[in-house]
Amino acid sequence: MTKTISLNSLSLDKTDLAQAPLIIEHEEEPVAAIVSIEDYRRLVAGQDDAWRQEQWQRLQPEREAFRRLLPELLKTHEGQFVAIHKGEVVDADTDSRELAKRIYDKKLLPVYIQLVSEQPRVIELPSPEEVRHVPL
Amino acid sequence: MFHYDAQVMPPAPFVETQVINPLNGERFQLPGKLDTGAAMTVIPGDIVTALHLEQMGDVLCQGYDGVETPRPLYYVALEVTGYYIPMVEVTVSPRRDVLLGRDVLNHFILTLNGKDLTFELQDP
Repeated sequence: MTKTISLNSLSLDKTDLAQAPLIIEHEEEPVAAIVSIEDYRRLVAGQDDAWRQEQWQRLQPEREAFRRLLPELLKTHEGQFVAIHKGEVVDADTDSRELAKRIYDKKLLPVYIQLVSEQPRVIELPSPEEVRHVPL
Repeated sequence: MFHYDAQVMPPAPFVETQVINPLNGERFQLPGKLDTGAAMTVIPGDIVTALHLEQMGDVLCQGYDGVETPRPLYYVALEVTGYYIPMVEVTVSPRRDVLLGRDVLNHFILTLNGKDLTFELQDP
């Protein structure tokens, strides 16, 4: 059950926090909420995912255009990075960073930059890291 | 000369890194771990949101176990210990620091002294 407390009397201990969520009131109006750290992390992670999901979806038409154009691009631009904007190739370069610079200068967004290649591009990120306090 | 961060086990070389959105100049400072095993630089996912970075591609990332996962691509500017790199292709993962891969480290002369837990990073 949600607990409501006054901002003026804010003096919390671990027992109070165990009852999270806590609603903080000021002049009888709810002004803030305290949630458990697990809920907070889920909330932040959810916002993060939402932004990236939106970005992923926004690029989908350009991604699909790239896939549609790929057979033809393999004949004309193999080994180059191409920039797809509004379903068309707007620029190309062997260096994706140079291409991105020009795209930023022209503000051609959203844009999908991809390597023209028979096989999808694979990047190696092999470093395992020890993560403690993870329930297994 | 820099010192390894002994707060992580085993100690590892970190440098202050600023991730910059080239479109609007928004920047975020956080530690960058030097990772010569990584082919590409990785930034924390929440930096993407904080800097309003536009996804501009995707790539398959192969982890230590050989598993390939599709990841989004972004283009950012980086400032690494005061050295400015105007355009870097990066991907994201759920982490708190930047992973500075060979795409960035190859701009520098990097000398690791593991015995002494010190290192040098210089722009020639």
